Amino acid sequence: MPRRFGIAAMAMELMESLLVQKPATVIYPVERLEPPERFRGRLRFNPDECSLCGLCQRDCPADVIKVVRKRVEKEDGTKELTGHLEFEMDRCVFCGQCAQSCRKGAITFTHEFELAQPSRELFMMDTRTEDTADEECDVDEDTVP
Amino acid sequence: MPKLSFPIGPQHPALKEPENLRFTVDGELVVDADIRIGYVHRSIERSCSERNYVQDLYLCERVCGICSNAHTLAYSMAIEKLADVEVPERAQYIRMMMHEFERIHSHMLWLGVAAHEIGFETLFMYAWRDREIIQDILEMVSGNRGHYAMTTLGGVRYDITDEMAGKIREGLATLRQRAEHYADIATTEATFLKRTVGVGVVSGDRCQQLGACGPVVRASGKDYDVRAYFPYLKYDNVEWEVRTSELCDVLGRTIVRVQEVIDACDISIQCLDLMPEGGEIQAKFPRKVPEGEVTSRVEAQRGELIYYVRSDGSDVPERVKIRTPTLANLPASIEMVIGGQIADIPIAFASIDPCFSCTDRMVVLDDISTGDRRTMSWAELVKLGKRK
Repeated sequence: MPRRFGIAAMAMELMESLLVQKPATVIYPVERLEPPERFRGRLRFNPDECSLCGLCQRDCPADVIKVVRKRVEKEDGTKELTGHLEFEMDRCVFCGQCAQSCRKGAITFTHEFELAQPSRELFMMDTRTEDTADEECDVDEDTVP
Repeated sequence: MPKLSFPIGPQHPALKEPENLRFTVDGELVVDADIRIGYVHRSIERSCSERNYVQDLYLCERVCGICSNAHTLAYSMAIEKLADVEVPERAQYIRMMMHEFERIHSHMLWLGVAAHEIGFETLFMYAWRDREIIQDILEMVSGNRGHYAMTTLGGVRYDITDEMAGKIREGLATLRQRAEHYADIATTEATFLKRTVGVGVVSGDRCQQLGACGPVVRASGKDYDVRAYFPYLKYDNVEWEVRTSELCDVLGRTIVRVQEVIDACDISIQCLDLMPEGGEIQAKFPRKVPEGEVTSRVEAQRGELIYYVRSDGSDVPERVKIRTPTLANLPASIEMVIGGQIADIPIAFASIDPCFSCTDRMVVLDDISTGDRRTMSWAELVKLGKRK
């Protein structure tokens, strides 16, 4: 492409953009841009995969995650580990470290980016479940995930 | 005519960040200037000592929104040196590409801001439109337009696929062409030259005396660039040269930055060519870092960024100290406005590409009326910083 100079070039470019090209912006929300594959939107948690190891809580820079563990006694007298995770999503900085720390793939990020809520309470994500995390996670405590 | 002193800021429409500038003018001429910072202190260095090494990575990333990758890079390099961990070669090339991508987006952003400051709105719009090319690339590679979270301790988080490499080559070719076009405009366009030639002049020797760095010192004829003087990552393996200008004014700083955009495109393409196929992108990294202290430096887009980290052997750093380039460039910026016109203050000041949120550190306030000194305790800062 031959190089063009100065104001004349800019004027030509302006005319070209007005007459030929589409606008650089889109009319949101009528038109939407698709987020890229690696985009980190709303967090999704799968309690079935979670082993309550707490690595996500330890590495979260914004103190979003709280792992609540408890041992319950079963009918046969044995104890088992159960619990849930609490996410305070209004604090989340979407760094994705929790997903990287999780060895079980229980935390993933979706492409959902419209996350506004009318009150802070609605950001609280409680994953309380009756499911039992009976499988111990193979946690490497000494190395960074 | 009597001399007049007036303040600008801390809250004012010219810059988005709070700082206080005090000028003494004689008619239209600025005869004295002073600056006071400390209005956006966020206690980041102290907070680093309260979190583990992984959490600090994201805290350091948030020192600055524009040069976030440079901060994580400098921080990671420091911790990796302490832990004696070798980063895989492919990861080093990817880090280098992200470093240069960020330089491109920052310089394009600055070009738009500079054009806006001198009233050249068309260039402002075009520069920011073209910046979207590199923003799309950054988003494709890291998932985010800012705060990429790409650098992790011991490597990088994501790999670059072949499909991505093709898109990067295509995008950078367009961007390079556009940067050449802007280099022509900056050096030939009469209105641009009228507002930049001889404005904000500071000599190379004076820059050195004042400890300036980055494009500011390079635009005054000194070839100081950390990438050349203290090579890190794989800068030894690629062909590039330190861009300098003898003009010592705003035009010189514009030319240096636009040339660096072109160079950054070339360096990134070379990284794609040179990076080894496949292989690891992240090395195993220990949670506890051996006792010791270390300094690391990188050439961020605004200048030399220095990190000092001291470890006591635990998984939490004992001390993290950050020297951002804006702090180094502020004394030179004061020299730039003195002797110039009032109307040239915005562009002269903007020519150092200031970032005050990066720069602010703990400030002790003296009450002039009573002579009292007031410091805030850690507990008070925590109370102030928490929302609940």
